[in-house]
Amino acid sequence: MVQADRLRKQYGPNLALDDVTFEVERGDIVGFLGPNGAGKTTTMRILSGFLPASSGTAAVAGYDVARDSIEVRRRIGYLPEGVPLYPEMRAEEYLAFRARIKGLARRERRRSIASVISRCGLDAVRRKLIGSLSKGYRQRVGIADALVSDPPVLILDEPTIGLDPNQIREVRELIRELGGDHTVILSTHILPEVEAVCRRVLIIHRGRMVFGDTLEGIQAHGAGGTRITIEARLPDGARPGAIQDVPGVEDLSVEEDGGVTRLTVHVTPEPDIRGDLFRRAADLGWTILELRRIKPSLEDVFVRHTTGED
Amino acid sequence: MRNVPALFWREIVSMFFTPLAYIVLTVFLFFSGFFFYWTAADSLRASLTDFSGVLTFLFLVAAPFLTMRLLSDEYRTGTIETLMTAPVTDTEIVLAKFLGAMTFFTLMLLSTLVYVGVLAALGDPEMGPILAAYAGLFLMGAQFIALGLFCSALSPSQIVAGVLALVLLLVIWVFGAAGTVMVGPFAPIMAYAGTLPHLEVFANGRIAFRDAFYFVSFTCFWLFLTVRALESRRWR
Repeated sequence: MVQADRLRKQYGPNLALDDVTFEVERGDIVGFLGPNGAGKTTTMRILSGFLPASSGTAAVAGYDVARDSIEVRRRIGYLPEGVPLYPEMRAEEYLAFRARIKGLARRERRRSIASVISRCGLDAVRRKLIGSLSKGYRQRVGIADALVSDPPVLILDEPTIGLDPNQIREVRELIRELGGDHTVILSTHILPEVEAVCRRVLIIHRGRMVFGDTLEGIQAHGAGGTRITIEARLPDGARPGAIQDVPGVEDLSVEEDGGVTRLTVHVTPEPDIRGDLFRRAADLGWTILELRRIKPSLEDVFVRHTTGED
Repeated sequence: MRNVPALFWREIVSMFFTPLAYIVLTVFLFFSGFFFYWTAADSLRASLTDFSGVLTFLFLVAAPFLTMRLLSDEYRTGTIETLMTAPVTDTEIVLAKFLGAMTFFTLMLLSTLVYVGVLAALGDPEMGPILAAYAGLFLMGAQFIALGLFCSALSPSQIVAGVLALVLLLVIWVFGAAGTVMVGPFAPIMAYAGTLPHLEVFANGRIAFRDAFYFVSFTCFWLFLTVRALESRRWR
């Protein structure tokens, strides 16, 4: 549904994007992650046709974003960073204007405006001037605008920034509902948001695509690997390394802290060997204080791919 | 051009919801009333020839105020991004903004018809020259607004856009005056590029194709440059 092929973008001497290639399938919800200034907004602006790429191509629904810009724009709902709106218009009036320039016929327009107003919870403010709305409502007007023409592709640049926790939940719920018939690309640097909403993750760092996988993929074989941490009191003279012969153990690190030994055991993701480790430790006479399995998280992946290597 | 009406209506809404338009209108009405008394009533002639010269200058000062926010404000607030990612062409955006400002300008121009009414009530003015003068002022307004719109396409700052428009308008104003008194190879070019000589033809009661062509062609020229300036924001 969305393809980017070797996108590069240069602002004067600064290279904002370097060789970014990715593809998003129809109905997918993709989280676009990266530190501030990594190139997320630039990529989204290229996809929406607001900025041209310096080289490389991108296509939405089979249309090239540079050559068939209008066709692409007909098929996307775009929420730009910072949600720019006209303060002097009323919420409903603004949505009517946007629906009209997006080519909706009069009858269709009335129906879809009513539908996005109720979906985005704007009933109470439909006749208010946008300039007088709170940040949360303005954000929702922006999302309603992106949805109003029911486009197959949604590009949302930081859709939940500035919202309170309840509003964040509502927006995430809305985005989850949209998946399936809509293709959604959303940028954020809130990692739990991606875990809550997205099926796939793309990580961009310094203008380069450094990682791309599904969330299940990250849990199964993500960076950092599956680990089991054990805190135990060992009998005098016991060797912590003795536990290493349990099948499934790949690596082991040990920390000593005032009589308590803390072991981090890197293991294969499957099968679950917590029971084997427990029995082995008990046979060795260890007193187990805590035993916990840690699956690789998005945070591990993110940190690994966006720090160091300067 | 399908989207021009929708974009145009948004311009009208925003124009009539901002205080600036009303301030410009009020100041304009005050000065036009004052100068009408000064020129027409004082000279005891039932003619608008002198008064239309004054109106020209009032419009020259007012036009930058009407046009300076048109695109600058969209850049500053970022709404240009929502606008340029909607399925509308840059030409449609520029035309809608031009027509929006022209509507307000026309309203200002029509408000001066009250003075024609005063002349008609107290004297017996010749209507032909007055109509010609109004046609000239209307065409001149189109040129001023197209130029101001172009300046607005260059900067996210309303002040910069407004001052630049005022300076350019003064330049073509001076060209007209200077071109008629100067000698040398550039004099005819300056006289042609300047506004005043063309406007005088209308003010004297004639509608000449050559002078109408001057205004229409310059209006199109500035609108074309505006579309280019807007497009160039995509290619930076």
